[in-house]
Order: sequence, then C-alpha cells, then structure tokens
Amino acid sequence: MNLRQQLIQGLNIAMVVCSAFMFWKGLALVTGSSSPIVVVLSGSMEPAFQRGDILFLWNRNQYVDVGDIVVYNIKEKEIPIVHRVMREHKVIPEVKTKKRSARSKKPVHEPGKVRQLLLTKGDNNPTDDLPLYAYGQTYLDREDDIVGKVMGYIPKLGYVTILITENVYFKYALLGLLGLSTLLQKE
Amino acid sequence: MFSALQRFQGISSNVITAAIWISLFVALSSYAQLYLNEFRSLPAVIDHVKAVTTLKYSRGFGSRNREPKENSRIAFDLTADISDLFNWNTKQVFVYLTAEYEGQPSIPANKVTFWNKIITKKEDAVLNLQKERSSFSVWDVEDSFRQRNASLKLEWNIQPHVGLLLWGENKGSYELTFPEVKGSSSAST
Amino acid sequence: MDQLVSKFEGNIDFKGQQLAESVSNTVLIVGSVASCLIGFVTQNVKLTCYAFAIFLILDLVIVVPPWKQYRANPVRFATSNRSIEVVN
Repeated sequence: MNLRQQLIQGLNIAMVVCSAFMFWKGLALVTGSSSPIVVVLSGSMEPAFQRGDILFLWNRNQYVDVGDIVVYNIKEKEIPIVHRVMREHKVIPEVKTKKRSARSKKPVHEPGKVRQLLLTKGDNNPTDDLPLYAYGQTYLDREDDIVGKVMGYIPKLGYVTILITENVYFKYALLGLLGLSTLLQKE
Repeated sequence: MFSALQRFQGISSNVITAAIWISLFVALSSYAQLYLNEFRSLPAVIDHVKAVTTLKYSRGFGSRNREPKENSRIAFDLTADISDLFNWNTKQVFVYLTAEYEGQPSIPANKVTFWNKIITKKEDAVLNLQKERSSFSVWDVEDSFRQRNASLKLEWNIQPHVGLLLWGENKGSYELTFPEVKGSSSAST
Repeated sequence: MDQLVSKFEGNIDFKGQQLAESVSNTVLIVGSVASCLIGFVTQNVKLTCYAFAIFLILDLVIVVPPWKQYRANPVRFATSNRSIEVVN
C-alpha cells in the first residue's frame, strides 16, 4: 500500500473515533448529565440492579424525588455510586459574606436559590450512605453531586466492561482473539 | 453469505435487531397492562400510626458535634393490595412509606422515608401489616421536629425486566404530628 | 494449507446463498413473534428468552454449516480452449 492509501485509512479510523466521541458528548448535552450511560459496578442495589447492568441517566429535572434512583459522585472520588434517594430537604442557605480563595474547590452557589439536600441508601445495604460521604458532609447536593436520575436500563450487557477492567485473563484473551481474526481475514 | 463466517456475522446482526424488537414489545405491552391497571394511583390505608421522638447524640443518628438531634421512629398499620402492578415484565416493586412536611421559611419542603420493602412476587403483593415498625430512625435537617404535622403516603417504584422505571403513590394520606421528645418534662404521660 | 482453509470456510453457491438468507429470515421472524406470544400468554419473561434462544440456535444450525442443499447448483466456470498469443 502506498502512502496515500495508508493516510486515508488513518483518516477513516480517526473519523470513527471522532464520531463515537461526538455521539457521547452529544448524548451528555441532551441528557444534561456528565456521564449519561453508566455500568453498575457493585451489588448494593440488588435485586433491582446487578453488576453489569447498563443504566440510562437523565439530569434535566430541577429536583429529584424521594424514591428515585440516582447516580452520584463523592467529591474528589471518581467512582459513581448508584443508590436510592431516602430523604430530601429543600433549603435556602444563608448568604455567606466570607471571601473564598481562588484555589478553593468548593462550588459557588447563587445566594437565595433553593438547594435540594439528599440522603441516599442502597437497597441491599443495611444503613444509609452517611459513612460514604466526604468528611463533614451530611447530605448530597442535587446540583453539585448528582450525575443523573436512572430512567431505564438494559440488564447484564455491560458485564463485558467489568470483565475487561477486572479480569486480566479476559483482557488478553479478547486481544488475542482480535489479533487472530485480523490475521485470518482474507479481505 | 459466501463463507460460513459471513453467514454467522449476518445472522448475528439480524439477531440483535430481533432482540431489540422483542424488548420493545415486552416494554410497551407491559406498560399498557400497567396503564390499564392504573399503576400511578392505587388505594391503600395507613392507620394507627404511633410516633416516638428521642434525642440522639452520635454521628450515626445525625448529630453534629455531639449536639442533641431529634430522631423519630413510628409504628403503623398498613393495608394495601398492589398485585395489579405485577405482570410478566415486573422484576420487583419497591414500596416505601414517606412523610412530607414543611420547615422554617428558609426550608420550604422536606420529605423523609420511614419504611421500605422489596416485593418480588405477586403472591407477596397483598400487604396486611399490623404494628409494623419503621425501618430506620429518621432525623430532620433542623435539630428538632418542633412537633410539626406531616402527611404520610405509601409510594412505590416498579422495576421492569426491560423498559423504563415507573413510580406511583396511594390515594389520600395520613396526617401525623411529631410528638414531643419522650421523657421530657413537658410531655404528658 | 489452502485446502484446510477452504474446508473451514464453508462456501456455498449462489442459489444456496439465496436459500440460506430466506430461511434465516423466516426462522428469525417466526421465532421473534412466537417467543413474544409465548411470553405474553404465559406472563413469563423467562420463557420468551428461552424460546428466542432456541430459535436462535436452530437458525445457526440450519444456515451456518454448508449443507448439501446449499451446494446443489455449483457455479460452472467457462473452460478455456483458446490460447492467447502475445504479439510483440
């Protein structure tokens, strides 16, 4: 193959990667959620959700309701957690006049706006999520911490991603299969 | 379609399409069944609610800096028949008892869960509970309940095998007043 | 090596390909409708899954291996009885 054909192939691959990225970001824009499709990693919501289920999130509602299943992040921890909302309190916090330093990671809140504080719990856990929250945090904030509310799901399809990240043999077996198939393909 | 591998690949893509159509049929038909059964609003009776308010001082019960925090527990009777919510696409129904009340002017709304239960089979769907105790101790974002009034409602969340999650609640509600702290000098015996 | 590969390839002729495609589509459509109805009537989703799996395996068994029925009309290539002369 000459240089032009190789470059065209490279361009095709780049187009595929870019369109996948565009689809993901477009979906994030439509749903208003930073991560609109997540895979369940723990068994804390059994028997409702098992490890490997794919969840579809929606984040455009102003408030979530008690009984909704939400996905949230604890500040500075990357793992999303899927649990059910047990309590909600709509609070208008007092205006703080203290100046925040430029390097403070705390999010800026509009004064006078209602903040929805939430307490969550996994269906399969004996107690609520208070021990999971950040030090000194007693409630989740709907805007800051919630990634989205679960609207629907597909069972078990995401188990492949769990196997790839956790099971070393599976990862190499999959790579080996891919390599084998490209070698044996005639076209 | 020339080689066996091509036939296998062709069939795989057709199978995935067929599976998507079947999932759509399951989800839509079960939604129609639920809609006809009025899943959003079913009758249920909450009765004989007895509430107890105690003071707790540990972090696990909502206390900050060992300050006293009012915790509430209730015992109640519940009569409900939610077997209409079960069809071939129902994986589980999560029922929970909620209390909704107002706070200070800067706290316009509060809603807490006192009790919940997971029901997986239609046979278990007729609830006839007496003196059922709340699943956990509940505390407010304020330090005290201030003997406010709350509306108790039974709500449920239907989880399908395929499709969207659905929610519903019962018609009517039970009015409850949070009692004074047990054992305090002003409480009547 | 080539003979081994062609044995594994499972090639079939053109009429056989048409037959294979129509059979596969029929089995899948009938299977999808049947598994939907079976599940709906018995109100059991597991039966839908199992019925569809059975139809899927049936489809693979009928269509993927190169049965004799798919090779009944082999393609006849024209034989060469002329030689080409290269004229400088």
